[in-house]
Amino acid sequence: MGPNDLDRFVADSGDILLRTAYLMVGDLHEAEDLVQETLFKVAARWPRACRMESPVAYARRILVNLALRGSSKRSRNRAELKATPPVETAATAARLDIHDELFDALAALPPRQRAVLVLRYFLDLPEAEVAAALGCSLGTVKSSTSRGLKRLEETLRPKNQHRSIAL
Amino acid sequence: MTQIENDVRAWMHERAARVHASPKILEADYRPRTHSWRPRFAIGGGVATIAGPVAAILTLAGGASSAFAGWSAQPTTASPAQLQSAQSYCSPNIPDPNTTTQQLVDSRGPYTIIVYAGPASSTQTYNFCTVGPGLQNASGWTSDPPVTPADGRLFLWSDHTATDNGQDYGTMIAQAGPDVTGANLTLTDGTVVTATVQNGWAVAWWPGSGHVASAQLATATGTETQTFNYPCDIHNCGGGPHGAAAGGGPGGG
Repeated sequence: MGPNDLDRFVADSGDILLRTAYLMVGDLHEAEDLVQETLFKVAARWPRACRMESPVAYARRILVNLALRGSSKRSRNRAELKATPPVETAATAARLDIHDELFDALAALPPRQRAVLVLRYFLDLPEAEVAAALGCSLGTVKSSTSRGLKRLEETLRPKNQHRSIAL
Repeated sequence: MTQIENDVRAWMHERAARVHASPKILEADYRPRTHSWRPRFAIGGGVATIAGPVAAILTLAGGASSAFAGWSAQPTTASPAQLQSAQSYCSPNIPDPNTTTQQLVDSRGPYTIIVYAGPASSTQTYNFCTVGPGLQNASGWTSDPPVTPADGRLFLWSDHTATDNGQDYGTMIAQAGPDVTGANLTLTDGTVVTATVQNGWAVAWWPGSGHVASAQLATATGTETQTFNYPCDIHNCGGGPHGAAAGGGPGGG
């Protein structure tokens, strides 16, 4: 990509960045804000970013860092907003109709474990790239993946067993 | 791959596929804004107007302009901590940290401006960074070909005023001729501001809406006076990009 390709980069990477952000934070509006903040940062460094082998990987690193950095704040905000039902249009309600057991189980994971799983299983990144995106060791990625999957299994299994019995 | 891995992957892809980037994301203008950052731009062929886009490089965020507390018409000496603080922001945030080196540090109270430049070749890269209370800003530009101001002259990359929180401020970013050792700027409102001159660069900023009307330039052989007509373009800001600058162009000298 070249210095004049910022618009094309935004158009090409908008969906994948938003989906990644959405799976990481579990809220579409927060995800959109994260992606916008990410794109502003990328644009600020676009003369350098456009020369990179993978500008989208650069954007992804920024996105992940922003998501992790703001995770505690988002948790506080979420708690404060619990008493106020969100106002959603029909369109956004349809787009947000994705709450289910796995969604809740994923949301219950520590942010870094969730990020590892999203990068590994949604983006299908090799463990080494996940480590690079998160700025951690390969061992941390392996252990976080293992623990995250185990917690998802533990969370889902009782409900699934209960459901089977109920059926 | 285990069952749970398959389930998680399938679930993520299915859920994510329902989400699409909205116009909020796709149609936003992410290009540099006055209050945060500016893109690199290039000047070539001696025809580009430089007063606008170049001048927009330096912007002061709200906190800085609310009172311009600590500003002085004379450059001050940055403490090691102030300089280190500025460099710690600027080094990783300027567009070309690996190809530019520090050329000038302008300090006025708590505000620090650092100019970086790359090696001169067919094109030259410049980076510019400002750090102060409520303010962090880094940007860059290129010149094709590089500017080489004549002796006793300034080449103004920027003579710009802006308004922030209702308060005006102006900036000058210039390259200085090789023999220029000092520069006192007289603004259109009569204010006199001393620029920082280092390594062929001259930089100053000031509260108010004045532009640079003239510069008293100290050289090894005496004092030169250069006048400017705002808004200047590539021809009357001190010379073209080739730097011949004889007479400083229509607005110079």
